[in-house]
Amino acid sequence: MKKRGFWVNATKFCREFISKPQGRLGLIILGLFIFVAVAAPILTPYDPIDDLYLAEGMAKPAWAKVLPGNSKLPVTVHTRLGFNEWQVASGEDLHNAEEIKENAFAIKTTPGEFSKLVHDVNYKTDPPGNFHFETRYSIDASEETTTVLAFVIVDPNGKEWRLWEKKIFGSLKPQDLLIDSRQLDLKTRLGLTIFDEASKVIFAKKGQYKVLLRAYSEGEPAIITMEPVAVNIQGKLHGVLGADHMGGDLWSQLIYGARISLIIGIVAALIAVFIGTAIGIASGYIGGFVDEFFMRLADVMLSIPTMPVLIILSSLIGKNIWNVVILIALFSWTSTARIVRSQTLTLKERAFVEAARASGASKTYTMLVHILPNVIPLVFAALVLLIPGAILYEATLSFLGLGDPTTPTWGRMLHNARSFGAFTMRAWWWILPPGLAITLLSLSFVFIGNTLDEILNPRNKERA
Amino acid sequence: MSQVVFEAKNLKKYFYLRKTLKDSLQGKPTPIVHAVDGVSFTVNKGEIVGVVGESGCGKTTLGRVLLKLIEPTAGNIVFEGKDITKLTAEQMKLYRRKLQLVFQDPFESMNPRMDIYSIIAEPLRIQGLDKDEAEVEAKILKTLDEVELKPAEEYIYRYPHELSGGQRQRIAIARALVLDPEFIVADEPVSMLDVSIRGEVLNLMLRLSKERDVSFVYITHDLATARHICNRIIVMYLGETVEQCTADELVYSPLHPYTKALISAVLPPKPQEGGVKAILEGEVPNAANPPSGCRLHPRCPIAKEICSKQSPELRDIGNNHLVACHFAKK
Repeated sequence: MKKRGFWVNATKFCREFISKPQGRLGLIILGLFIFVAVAAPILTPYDPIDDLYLAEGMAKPAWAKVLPGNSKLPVTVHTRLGFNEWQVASGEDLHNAEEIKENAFAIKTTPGEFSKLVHDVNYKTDPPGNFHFETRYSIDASEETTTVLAFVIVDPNGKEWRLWEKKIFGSLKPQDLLIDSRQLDLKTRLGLTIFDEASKVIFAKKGQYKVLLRAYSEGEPAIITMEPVAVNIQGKLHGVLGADHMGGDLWSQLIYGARISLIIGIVAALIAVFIGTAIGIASGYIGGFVDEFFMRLADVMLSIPTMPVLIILSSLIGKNIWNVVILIALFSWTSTARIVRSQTLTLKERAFVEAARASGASKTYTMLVHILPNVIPLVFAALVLLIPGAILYEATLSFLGLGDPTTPTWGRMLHNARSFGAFTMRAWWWILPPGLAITLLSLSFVFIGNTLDEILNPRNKERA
Repeated sequence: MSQVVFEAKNLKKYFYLRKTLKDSLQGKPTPIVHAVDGVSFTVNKGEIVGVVGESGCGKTTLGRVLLKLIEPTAGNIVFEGKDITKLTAEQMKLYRRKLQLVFQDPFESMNPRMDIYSIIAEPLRIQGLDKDEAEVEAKILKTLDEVELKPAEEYIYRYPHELSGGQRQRIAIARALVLDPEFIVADEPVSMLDVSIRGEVLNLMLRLSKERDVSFVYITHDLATARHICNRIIVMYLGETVEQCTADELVYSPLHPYTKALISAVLPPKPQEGGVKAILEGEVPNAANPPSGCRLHPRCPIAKEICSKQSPELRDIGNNHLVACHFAKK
């Protein structure tokens, strides 16, 4: 029963907020960004910073294939070839044996015969920039046995490209196998010069390709066990939003950027509003020298051009995201302090403050119990309106290269886009999304803040 | 009965205005508003003393100074035989239990974010008397009962904006009463209320003064209500006392021309038998620059030459009837 009035007010407030189209739109956009930020690990399998060379540099988004001129562009392929993907062409299939790891596959050779595992690929587009295979394998054989293992691609004309070959005596402990089209020994083995691009040569034709794993043993049968092969063919079409110059996934950068931007915006605004409220209440209520000091300080802060100072300071104190947050907060408290101070000045003349004083209330008590709850609505609106400013400051700093290079922010995306030629290459899929995201997120906060201001600011309220 | 609870001795409160740059360069003196200029009176136990005067005569400032919500410029405040003028805020805190205030505007005097329970409990909390929650609740219910808000349980979890002006003013009185004070300054407690509710609130004050021996200083501009509940009345003009005597004597035989003017300005119950006669002319002069001599002389109908030169003393002309006029006679 005690909370009745509060809930009635809260419900009334929510209804009023929802009834305004601006507030509704702001909430919807913000909700979308929050969802994306929270669900980022579900929405993308890639790490925005560490996963590089997923595709060719500046690969277009996968859906750009429908645009004119893009239909022949190679698609980026990321897949793992487990035992389901391989067909045993010859040799004894052992992949169901119990001692073999999940999804790995194994084959038992017949001495003197070729054992083959085959995977068919239908390749109909232009050749990709690179390809990359990675796996782990081991051999279990007697000491007298010699095994020859080879990784081969057979093109539509039946030409065999022997990418890798190894002769093994006896057993072999599990070890890594890494095949990359940029490897020098691979090019040499294929009879190419170091300037040739292996993938362009191999995948020059369009049609049915075969990936072939071939084993040959002499002596006794050998058991070859292989973990699923990670296949990465770096094409010119990749993912939801394409790739940056290093083949990094832009979509994952964008959605992890939403996290950072939201956190930076909210934390910086929270700090700023906390400082601003404390100073505003103190200088409004205590007055005198305190008031004079803080308000002149605020004047000075307001008259300093923020951006140049932020640039200098952030380059001095180091590229840490929290440094940037604190810097932004230190330059944003003034507006809140002024709003809160003016509201405090009217509140402290209200009779209920005097009544508290007449009962012996201390200054701290009055400020906390009577002034603070009555300025909170204003502070809330100020908070929401400070967030877009903080987001923009951070984006600007990152864009200028003063942000933290290990943090995926939208400003960093734009910075990279500018530095690595996205503008000259007209890589719109790289430039537009972060720009639009910054605009939309800021806009949503402005919408919400305006609506809050409209509802909560006593200046805008008709007197009841 | 006639034990003195509260005494104001020659209280003064001046407000120093800000000089313009030009004025300070020319060496002009700082303008001073003489809001309260030498007011003395005593309040007995269970007595209601009225302070009457026009707007801007300093009665509200006087009320604040009496409770030391504003520091007096000069003079002494004596409460229960102890001079509390120079006490620090810490020392004052104990006395604040016994000195309380009721405000003019019942819509302004409550924090809109607090419910009635919290509002009335607040003085107890500030004074650190809220250790036992059950005791606090019992106290609040009892106090609400006392100010005739019944049933009390129905009110305690409501918010001020849900109540009418009269109910709010009762809440305000309950808040003042919850600490069991000895002395309450009521600053125009009924001027914002409907006429029908005024009587009830005034009678409540009257009953409290009789039953609980609470002393009141009742600040008002309305002589009619002052006469109804006050034992004695002080008439103020421009920060100074012009007349002080019992309520009946003031109404039936006023001696100061200003008091006469005030009484004549009370609307007669039968207007057809002669309307209001304007005795005074003009407005109240600027308190920053009061007239010389008797402060009323520019507006006074009986002013002579002496009035503009010499300030009249507050004289006792018998029977504790104090008047500040050169021509006042029994």
